[in-house]
Amino acid sequence: MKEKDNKELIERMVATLRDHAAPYKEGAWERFAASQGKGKKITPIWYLSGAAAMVLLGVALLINSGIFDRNNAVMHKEYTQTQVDDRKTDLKNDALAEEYKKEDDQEATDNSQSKSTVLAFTQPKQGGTNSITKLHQTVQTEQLNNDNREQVIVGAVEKEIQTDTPGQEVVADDKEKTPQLAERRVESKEDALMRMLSEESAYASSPSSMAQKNEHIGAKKWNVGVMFAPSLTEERVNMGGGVTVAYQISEKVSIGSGVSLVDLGLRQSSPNTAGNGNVMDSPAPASLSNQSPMFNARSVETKELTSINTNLLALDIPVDIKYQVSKQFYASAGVSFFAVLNENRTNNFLTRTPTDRTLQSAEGLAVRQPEFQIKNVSEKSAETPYQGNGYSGFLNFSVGRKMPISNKVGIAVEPFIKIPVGTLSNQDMNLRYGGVRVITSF
Amino acid sequence: MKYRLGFINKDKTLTLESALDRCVQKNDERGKEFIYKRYYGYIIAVISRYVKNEYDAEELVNETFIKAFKNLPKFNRVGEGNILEKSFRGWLARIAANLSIDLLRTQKHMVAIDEVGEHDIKPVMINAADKLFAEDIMKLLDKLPEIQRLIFNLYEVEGYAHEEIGKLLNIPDSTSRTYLTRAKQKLRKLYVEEFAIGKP
Repeated sequence: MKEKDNKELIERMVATLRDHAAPYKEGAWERFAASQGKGKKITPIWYLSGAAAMVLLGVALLINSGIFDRNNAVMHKEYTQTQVDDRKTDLKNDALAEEYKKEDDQEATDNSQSKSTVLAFTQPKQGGTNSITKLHQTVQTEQLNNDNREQVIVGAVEKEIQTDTPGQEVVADDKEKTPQLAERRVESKEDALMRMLSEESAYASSPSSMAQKNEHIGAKKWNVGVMFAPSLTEERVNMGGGVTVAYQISEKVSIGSGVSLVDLGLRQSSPNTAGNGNVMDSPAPASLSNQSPMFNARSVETKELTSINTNLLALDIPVDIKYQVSKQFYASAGVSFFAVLNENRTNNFLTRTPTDRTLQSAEGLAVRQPEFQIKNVSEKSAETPYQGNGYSGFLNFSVGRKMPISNKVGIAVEPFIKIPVGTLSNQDMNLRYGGVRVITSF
Repeated sequence: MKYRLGFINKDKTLTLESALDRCVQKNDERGKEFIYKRYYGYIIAVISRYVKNEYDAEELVNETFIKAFKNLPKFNRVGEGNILEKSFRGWLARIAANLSIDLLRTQKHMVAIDEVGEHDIKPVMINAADKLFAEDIMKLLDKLPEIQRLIFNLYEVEGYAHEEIGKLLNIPDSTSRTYLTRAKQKLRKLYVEEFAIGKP
């Protein structure tokens, strides 16, 4: 009987020891992963490559926009010169035409005008446009020397066009419209003259004005501001602030960066009580199981981690692409590097201290009266899983509205949300937070 | 293309089977994290039966997991659910016990001589119906001579054979048997002294 009891006791001891597991110690995995240097090796590469792609995109846009601007400037200059030359030629030709008008009879003038009209209207329909234009130029040159000869050539051209063009009606219609077109032409000549004169004067002064314009654009391309950003986490309202700088890539797109100091207060319920998948990972202490109070009382003091509070002081360096949706509203997205300068972690425990009172029963035997003393205890933790983590970062999304206060100063209100990536997303805390940025730009 | 968006799939529930698959096939960190967090408490409980120093115990836990993750492909997966769970725990416990013994050996703790004679042990009647708690048993184990405690743990809890224990501790098999018997007797005695109150 004794042997049987003793054997049973050892068996029960062994079974208890085999099933025993201590509670999970918060931060153990993070320390293990950090010591292995593997825990965070793959994840940030995607985000870093994403960030690199965005920066490359920004640089590419910057380079392209620079080339585009230069091309624009050259093209504009050439175009203006060509216009001026053309108009000068037109003016000369017109003056000659005036003389010609005086000397020749009305019929000849009509022919001359109808010639150019026919040419103008038939050009889109003709395959040999260039030859006709050259011919037209030849005709115009020969006008100066021999009027009669010119008439013959014009007649020949007319014939040629009439035979080449299937729709003779078009030519006939054009001839009917000739007086009206002539009037319009005179008007347009006057307009062109006025434009030419005004543009010539503008062109004469263009180097200085263009330089001024460029300076103006240059000044506008860089935008510096001061930022104040209250934000909200599950724990409390946080404050942050810093400076921002933005470079205007194109009219609608700009790339921005800066540096800001952020003070974040976070709170995380213990995985034991949070109701997520970790519940089963951390077996409850044996003394807290639903056993008879008599044996619970025998157990040692137990501590149950209820929550963790963390205060982070960090530097946030963002790289954002901003798109101007309208004159006042904009949307921006980007990534930011998050360097934790200081971290304070406090663990909140619920402690159960068993206290035994020994009473004497009626039979004279000692009987234990178990009691528990339950206390909430906060302990400062030496763990700093965030501090010194190099690959930490956030994805930033925001929309904002710009409001000018004066010519030089503007204010922008920008609600934002920051989603942790890299090591920040692997930690036990949820670092996702949002807030409102108030940016004063100069 | 599969993106590693940790903040999106963080809460996806893993099982031991899927975590093992991920570790073996992809050397996946999430799978390792799951296994580490799930068995951390169990492994530290095993190691605490051999090593008393808390710092050493913590180090040994990590060493156990490093060795386990490295040798996961060699783990013989039998069954599913509870069966797999038990066999995996047993496998981890053996790694932990071996590493603990290695550490003790390097610290030259193995020279402890059992001073308790057979005549000191007298079987006593105990109340076997009482519920036992691991912390209580650990206290009793701590009062055993170290060699007896190790042999008791290795043989009874971890399931080593006396031949294996002999090789591991560099002692004859018969010595292992003797120490085991003494360990059991002393445990009974200590139990009665400590907990069997109300004994008539």
